[in-house]
Amino acid sequence: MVEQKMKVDRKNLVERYIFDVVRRLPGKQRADIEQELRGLIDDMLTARTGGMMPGKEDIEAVLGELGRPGELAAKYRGTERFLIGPDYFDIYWLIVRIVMAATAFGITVAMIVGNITVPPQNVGLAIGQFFLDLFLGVVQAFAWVTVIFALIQRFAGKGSAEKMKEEFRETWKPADLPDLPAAKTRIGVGEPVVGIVFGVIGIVILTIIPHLIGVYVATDPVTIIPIFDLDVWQKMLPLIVIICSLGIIKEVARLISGRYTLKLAAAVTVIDIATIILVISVFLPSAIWNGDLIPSLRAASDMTWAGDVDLEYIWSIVPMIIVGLTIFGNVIDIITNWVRGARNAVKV
Amino acid sequence: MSDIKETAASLSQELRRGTIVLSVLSQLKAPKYGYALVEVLQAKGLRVEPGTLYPLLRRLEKQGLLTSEWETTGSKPRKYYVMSTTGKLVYELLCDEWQEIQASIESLRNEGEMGNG
Repeated sequence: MVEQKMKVDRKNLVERYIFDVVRRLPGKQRADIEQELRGLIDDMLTARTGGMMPGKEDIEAVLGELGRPGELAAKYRGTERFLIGPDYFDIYWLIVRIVMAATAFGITVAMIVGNITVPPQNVGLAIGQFFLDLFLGVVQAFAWVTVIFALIQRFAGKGSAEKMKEEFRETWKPADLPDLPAAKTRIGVGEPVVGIVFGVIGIVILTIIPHLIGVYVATDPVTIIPIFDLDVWQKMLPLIVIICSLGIIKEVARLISGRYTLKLAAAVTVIDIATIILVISVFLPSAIWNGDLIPSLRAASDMTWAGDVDLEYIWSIVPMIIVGLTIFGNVIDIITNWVRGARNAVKV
Repeated sequence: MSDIKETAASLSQELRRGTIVLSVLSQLKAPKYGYALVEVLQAKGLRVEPGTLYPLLRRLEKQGLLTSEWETTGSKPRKYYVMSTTGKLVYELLCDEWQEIQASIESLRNEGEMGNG
């Protein structure tokens, strides 16, 4: 009986080892490697004991010689696997911390502003809600940055590294080395980081307190007339978040590139054009704007300050002004990037 | 002292690592299974960890230098590897390379001896 039990234990140790190696391997290789490992361990035991029944120490010695299951599996796979590799990790780590901090900051500001303008019914509940928002927001910030970098790693990282190797092997000449970036074509860390922080705070505020973005009339208590139609705003929110995210992604691209290049200019062009299209489709139609803004304003205030100004007309052209400014800013951005990229490409 | 030993051990391992493929191919004109290969190499003074050799055999098969077949008629199933036609060609090239390296190193060492002596 005891003999029988020991046999099971020994077998168990080998099986546990094999299982622990094989579970880390791609499905189609598993069965084959499993059978191979079982044979190998058996051979190693036989060699060790000279055909005698192996004891527990023998099995432990043999498995010890084969090494950690994770390392053996890595040798079988042949390549190291990672979500975000060493090429991008530093910049990823920088950005993930900035974005998480900016998210926490934005949520805190939104909470303070929101609770001051509209005092909460239940303070305990409001504090609970704040910590919940904080937690969910920071987790989301982490998740989104990680997903974006994993995609960059997958598509830009591996592909370009292999392509680069090819190019190096075939045609690389020392003359191909990039010039040292001239002062004007270098992109510092500060500017993109500020851009990212503003983008993140923007997303947080536009998501949590759009109802507080409005005209404040000094009645008692304060009357806030939102400039947006909040129902339409909720429907458009995903697109609005995408617009802000595009801005953040652009800053990340600038940070990774570190200098103005034609490649960066091309990326910026794509992002800016997408931004323009989204801004036009979200903010140009009058639906998202509060159509009752001026009547509400007249109802809440005596309006002596306005004089003879045609407020209805001004309000009606606000969407066009916003969209116009966006197009103008983005076109300038595209041109700047191409000019500087070209300056970097041509020898200075 | 143990530092020097450690450094020497790691350098000599590095030196041996490059020769494993050549050694393995030399023994696979006829089919052999993995552990038999470990024993043959060890008998010739070349210690290769099974945990290194087994994945290596797979990689060489993937690169087309070896072909494999499971032999299930014996008491336990074993995977036999043998050189493919490509493998034989590569083996010839590696052998030439080895001769050249050996000659170069020899002549470098002799020169070194004379220069120092």
